[in-house]
Amino acid sequence: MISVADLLTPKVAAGNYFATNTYVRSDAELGLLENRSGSRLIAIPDTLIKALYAGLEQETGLAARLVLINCGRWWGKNFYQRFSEELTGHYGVPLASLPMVDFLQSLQQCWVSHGWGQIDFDPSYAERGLFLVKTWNSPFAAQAPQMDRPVCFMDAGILSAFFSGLTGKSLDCLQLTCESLGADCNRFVVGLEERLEPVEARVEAQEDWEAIMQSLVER
Amino acid sequence: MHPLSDFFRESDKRYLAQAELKLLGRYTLSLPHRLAIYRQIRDQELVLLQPVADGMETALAGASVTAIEQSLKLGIAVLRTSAMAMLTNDISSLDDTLRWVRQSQENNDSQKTNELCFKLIRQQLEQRLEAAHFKLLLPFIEPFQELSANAA
Repeated sequence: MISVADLLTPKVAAGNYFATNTYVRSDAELGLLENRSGSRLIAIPDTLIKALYAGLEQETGLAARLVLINCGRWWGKNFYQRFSEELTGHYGVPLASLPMVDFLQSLQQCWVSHGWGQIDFDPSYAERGLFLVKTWNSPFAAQAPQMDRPVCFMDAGILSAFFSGLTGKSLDCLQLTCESLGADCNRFVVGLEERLEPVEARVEAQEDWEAIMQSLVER
Repeated sequence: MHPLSDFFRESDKRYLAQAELKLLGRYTLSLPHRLAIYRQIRDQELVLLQPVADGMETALAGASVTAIEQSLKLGIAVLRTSAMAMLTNDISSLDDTLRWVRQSQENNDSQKTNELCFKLIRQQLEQRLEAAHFKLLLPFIEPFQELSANAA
C-alpha cells in the first residue's frame, strides 16, 4: 500500500525547483538578477550574441568556432556544478541517486528558465552509448550569422561539458542539425571523442542526421 | 501578473473606478472563505490524499508503484499550487506548475495515471468542502484535469 505520509516529506514532494517565476529574482534598484539560491545571473541581449559571433569572426577567423566551443565548455562545466549543487540541495540526495525522471525534468525546466529555449533527450541511442539531445528556440541559433553548417557552437560546448560532468568521462558533442538551416530542431550527439571522430566531416557535407547516427551505432 | 497588481500600478495617477472598487470589494469579502478553504486543505492534506492513493492502486492494479507515486507527487504539487492560487485569486500563478505537469506527461507517458489522480483529488475535494467553497476552488483545479484529459 502506498503511504501518502511518506510522500509528503519535503524532500520527496520537492516540486519544481527551476520554476521560472520562483527561480529568477530581480532587484530593479540594484540592477541585479539572481537565482533562488542567491547566485548572480546575467541577462545577455541579442545584440551581444550577434556581436560575439561577428567580433570573433573578425579577430580569429576560422578559429571563432573553436573559441565558442571552448567558452561553452567552461560555461557547461560551471553550469553542471551549479545544477548539481542546487538540485542536490533541493532533493537532499546526490545527483546520481536522483530518479532519471526528476533529473530530466529538472534539466528541461532549468534550460527554459535560463532562456536557452527547450531541451529534450531521445533515448533511442542510449543503449549504444550515445546521447541524442534536441533543443528548440536556441538564442545562439537565432542570432548566429547564416552559414552552410550548424552554428550552435556554444550549446555544443555546454552539452559536452555537462555530460562529461554527469558521466565522469571526457565526452565530445557535435551538432547534427540546426534551426538556422531550416531544421525542425537542433540535434546534438554526445559520446566519446574517438567515436564521434567521423561526424564532423559528414555534418559539413550536410549528410542526413539519421544516416550519421545509424553509422555511429553500427561502428 | 496578479490581477490586483493592475490596480496599484497607477495608484499615483488616479483613483479606482466604481467597477474596480466593486471587484476589489468582492475579493475582500471572499477572503474569509478563501482562508477557510486553504486552512482546511492544509490541515486535511493527508486525509484527503490517502484515499486518492488507495483509489489509484485499486484502479491501476497492473501499474508500477513508482508510476503511481510519480502521479501522486504531481498531485501534491497541484493541490498546493491550486490552493495558493485560489487564496490569492491568481490563475496565472498556475502556469509554472501546468508546464511542469505537461512536461512530466510527455516524458513519462503518464496521462492516464495523472488523469485518474486529478479526478480522484477533485472527488475528494467535492466530498469534503462545502459546496460554495468547492465552487470557489474549482477554477484552479480544472486546468490540470483538462491538461491530462486532453492529452490522453
